[in-house]
Amino acid sequence: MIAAYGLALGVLAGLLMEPSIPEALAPYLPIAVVAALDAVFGGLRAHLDGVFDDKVFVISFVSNVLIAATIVYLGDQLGVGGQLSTGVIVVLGIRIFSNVAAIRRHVFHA
Amino acid sequence: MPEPPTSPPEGSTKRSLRSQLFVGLLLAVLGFAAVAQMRLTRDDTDYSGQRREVLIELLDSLSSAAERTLVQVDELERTRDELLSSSERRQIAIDEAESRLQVLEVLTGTVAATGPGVTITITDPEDSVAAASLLNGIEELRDAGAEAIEINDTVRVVASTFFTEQDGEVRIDGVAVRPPYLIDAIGSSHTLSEAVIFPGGLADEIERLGGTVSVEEANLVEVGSLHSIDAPEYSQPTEG
Amino acid sequence: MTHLPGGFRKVDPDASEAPHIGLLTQVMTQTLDQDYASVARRRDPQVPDPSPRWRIGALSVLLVFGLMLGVSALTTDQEQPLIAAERAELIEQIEAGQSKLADQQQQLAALSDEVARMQSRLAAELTDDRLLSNRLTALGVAAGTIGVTGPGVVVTVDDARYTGAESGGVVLDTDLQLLVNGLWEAGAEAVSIDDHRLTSLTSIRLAGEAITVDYRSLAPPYVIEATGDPDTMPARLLETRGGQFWLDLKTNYGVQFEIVAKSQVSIPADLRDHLLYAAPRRAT
Repeated sequence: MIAAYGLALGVLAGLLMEPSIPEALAPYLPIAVVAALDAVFGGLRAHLDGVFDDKVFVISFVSNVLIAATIVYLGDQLGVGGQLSTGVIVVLGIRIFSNVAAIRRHVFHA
Repeated sequence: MPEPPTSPPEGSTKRSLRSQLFVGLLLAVLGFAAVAQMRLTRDDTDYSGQRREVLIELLDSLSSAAERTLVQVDELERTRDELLSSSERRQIAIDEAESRLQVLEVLTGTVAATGPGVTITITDPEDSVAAASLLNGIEELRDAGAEAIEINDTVRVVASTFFTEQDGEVRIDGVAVRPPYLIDAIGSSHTLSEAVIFPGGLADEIERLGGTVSVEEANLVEVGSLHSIDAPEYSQPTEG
Repeated sequence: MTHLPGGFRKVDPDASEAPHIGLLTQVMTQTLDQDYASVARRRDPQVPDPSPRWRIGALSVLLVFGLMLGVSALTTDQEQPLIAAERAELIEQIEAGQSKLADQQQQLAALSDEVARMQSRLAAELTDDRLLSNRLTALGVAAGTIGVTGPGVVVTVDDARYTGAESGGVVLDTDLQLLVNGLWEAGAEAVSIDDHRLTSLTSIRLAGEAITVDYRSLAPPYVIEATGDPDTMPARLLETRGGQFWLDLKTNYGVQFEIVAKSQVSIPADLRDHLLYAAPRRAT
């Protein structure tokens, strides 16, 4: 439950503090959020599966965000930014759907 | 002993009915949403539901369509201007041709003519005025600038008019003409009349033959008889 | 794990799953990080969680995630008016562009109609023009303003070789008048004297001692050319009074008189076509 409080606290902080994102990073925020969502849902499912590990969670979160942002950034430099970001979103979206489905199975049939 | 098939328990029937109703409700909602969206897509003319990329694409295709139309308009305008100028040029040529036509018609005797000139009356009491005398008189009138000539209101005198005699009668272009001879000539009244009464001219010659000549100058002389032209059989025009 | 030269470790990718599976299937089915499973397998259930450090890390990551969500929401919120303004402008441009396009297309249609009308009128005018041109040519030939060529005759006349003693051996204007008169009677279509076209304005006169045709003095011999039927014109000419007269002149006065039929004679134009006094009178 601490986890949930931590999340809520972060959201509140983000809304109230109104930090301004540097212009260069602004386009990558949405992708980063989706990548982070994937890691979070993955962690939630792992928790429900009983295999949650903090280290794995942190590493997967950070690496997901960095990798996703890097891929899209490279794509922008190569001129295929739109297509790559679409690809990344597709994959992340599939993973999120799949993890959410597993979570749903846990919640409704447990 | 095999058990008889049991009828489904009451509770499960109620549950399956409830779940069926639920499914039905969900499908109803789905159907309603689908139809609403389809109608929205079809009637959407205010772009509020369109994504930014779609709008940009629309704008792009609009501007290329506008460009194409502009090119077409330019081309058509150029064609129209060309047509206009060639039409104007043609009109000028037509006007010119029409005025030439008028002159040619007077010269060839295919149209009646009016203008200042003289009326010459020649009597021939002694029946001695020959075709040759009339011919000579016509040449004198031409020399004096007569532009249209007719005799006895019957025969139009043009370039190809020939004077003959048959059975004691003067024939002009084959048409019999009897005295008194009335010659209507359009031109400078004064010059024409001078040419007639000039010493050694038509009047002198006719009087020598025993006839009389009177010349009347007029501001308006009518030359109404016409000459018909035949299509040439042997002559080919060298221009046009 | 196998050891490779250079110290790299090669991790067997199929360590936890048995068969190799395609990328898409892998993406769709292996959505939970395998590390969770491998770590859970390796962990000794008896030993309590060793590193609270990582637990703190996990919590801070969640905090950061929350931050990201919040900021993301906020940024989107801030961008809304900009996005909306851009959309509004785009829509305005689209609508302006569409009405302009509609105007242009109307203009195009009107222009197209106009050009089509002009072109069809042009086609009709061409026919009229041809008729007019033909009429002008026919009239021009008759009036003498257009030169012609074709078969015909050439009549050459000259004073008698020995003049002086017999006056009467000189060609007079009246003689030429009669000759030309005879040619017209014999069916000539166009006549010229010494390359002067005879029109309804042309006079053959005598000025002093020289014959003038169309106010220009000529000297003998005089060449009279005429287009017409080369086979019949010579005979017909001789049958006319003019022809007879000339035969007489030739016989009795030694005047030279020669008729030659030709397959091609050339009669020039008299370009004068200005009327000073006469005007057409059209029937109303």
